[in-house]
Amino acid sequence: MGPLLAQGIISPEWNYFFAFIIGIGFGFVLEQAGFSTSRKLVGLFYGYDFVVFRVFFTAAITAMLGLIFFNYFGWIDITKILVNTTYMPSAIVGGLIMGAGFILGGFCPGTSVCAAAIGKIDAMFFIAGVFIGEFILFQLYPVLEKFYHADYQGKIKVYESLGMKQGLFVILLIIVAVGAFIVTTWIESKQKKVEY
Amino acid sequence: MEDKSKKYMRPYMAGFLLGLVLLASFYISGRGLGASGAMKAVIMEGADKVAQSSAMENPFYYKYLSRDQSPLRSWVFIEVLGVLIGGILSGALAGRLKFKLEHSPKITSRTRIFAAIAGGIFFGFGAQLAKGCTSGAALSGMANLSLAGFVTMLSIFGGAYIFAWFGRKLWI
Amino acid sequence: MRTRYIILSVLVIVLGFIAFILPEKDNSQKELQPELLHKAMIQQTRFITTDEVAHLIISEDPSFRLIDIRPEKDFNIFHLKRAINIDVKDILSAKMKKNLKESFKKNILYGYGTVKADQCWVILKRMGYKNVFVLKGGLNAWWETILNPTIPDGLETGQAVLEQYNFRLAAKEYFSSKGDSIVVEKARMELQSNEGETTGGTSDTETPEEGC
Repeated sequence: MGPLLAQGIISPEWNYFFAFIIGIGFGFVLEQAGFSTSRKLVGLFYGYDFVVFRVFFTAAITAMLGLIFFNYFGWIDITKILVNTTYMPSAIVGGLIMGAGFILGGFCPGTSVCAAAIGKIDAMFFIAGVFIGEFILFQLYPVLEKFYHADYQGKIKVYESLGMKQGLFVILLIIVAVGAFIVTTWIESKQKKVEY
Repeated sequence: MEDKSKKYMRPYMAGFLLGLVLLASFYISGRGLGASGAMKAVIMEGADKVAQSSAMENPFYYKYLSRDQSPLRSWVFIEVLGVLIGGILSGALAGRLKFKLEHSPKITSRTRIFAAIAGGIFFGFGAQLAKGCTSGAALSGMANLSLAGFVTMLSIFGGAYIFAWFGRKLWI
Repeated sequence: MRTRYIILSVLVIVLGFIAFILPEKDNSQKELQPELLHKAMIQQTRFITTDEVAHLIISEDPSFRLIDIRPEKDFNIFHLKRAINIDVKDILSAKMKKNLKESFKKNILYGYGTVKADQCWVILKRMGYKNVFVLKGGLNAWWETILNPTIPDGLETGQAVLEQYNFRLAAKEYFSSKGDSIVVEKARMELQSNEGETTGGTSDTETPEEGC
């Protein structure tokens, strides 16, 4: 039963090995999808290329359903999965700042590494910027500490905070996502197709 | 102009495969993917080697430097090394390996460079504040149905849409 | 091409619907192996001192909870700030399960002394709960160290000891109200008669309720 590390089926050393393999898979798929070019990535925000939206949500829903079914079949212990800790204000503000970064830079850290791998120089500059930005936050941490830890809600699940059952949330999310896929396809069909 | 590169993979197929990679990550390591943590690991290692005593005064550094193993011994760091290799592999197979500085025809290369650096700074800062970037917090966070994942995802995309109008000259 | 997408959309919606109607399943192993439990018992990491608890309460740390395992009437007379009451006899109840499932970092059990709280810890630990701790010395130690700290005598010197004493004085100010000292004195008297008891039922043979 998974997760293999938490159940002691693999050692921490093997875990690092698999981290590498998983990373290769991640980078490979990202590049195959065209996430190695900034002009395709920002298309979502200007309405000419919705690939980011499609890949992102398809991936999230695939993994989400995968986890639910694996848990049901007893292949994984879902309580041992790392769940992100919610600190509301910093999640929102940090997210908004990242949004600005996305528009300015045209990348996110994962895709920038992928793009730099195939030689995109703008991605390399982006990565340099990420280092600087993180460094700035670390240095400012003593000042921002209170905000950083504000409104601790623990490892709360989204459906818990909405007061609904897991299954209901998932089906609603899927319906909304499929609807959005249809709408975005329609929007794209109205545009001149540009290949990046 | 001859275009030797293969076409990109269909988005839904890529999304499905990415979802499988993500699922594998949960199944094997009990955690989702990440990216911004790798840069953090490098910074921590640098701080450790260069300015350890003064860095330890900062509680953020202290948390990472007070362990007795190297900061580079981090799951995300090793994973991102894999991302690099994976990208190269895919680019090689598709004939897309080429040094290029991409930018909209409406701006100069210089502008693009500055914007890329600035974008990275914003992203790095925001990612560590929100405790994750699009890969770690948003994508993986949504897959494990955490509130933080959805909130971060909405904030990133919402923020990007808000700032999109201001940055339009950069792209269209 | 269109048909393919329609089929995929329908497929994913059907999968979502199946996920919707699937019952929730808890695969987490209910019981901790004896060897692991033994190992955890020998380590002293589950113990939290009164100083640490005082600090957590004063700093209004949001990530901990105090669980008072004494009887309800004793709880009503006096309890630590923000503590909740779950009697020893109720520790396997749904109420305790619900409380322990929330992702607080620390659930700190306390009683008059250490014994009963520690026994509760063993049971809960065996059931697989991770974030359970024990206040070393219980309310007895609380009275002795926080509400009525002793001046360090000549044998114990050093900065750390002095700082600890000063902290305890300040904590005493924070926690004392007029009625407290009298009440705790009374509780302390009862302590002598209570703490000698060993727990009645053998919780090992009780099967925990099915949780999901």
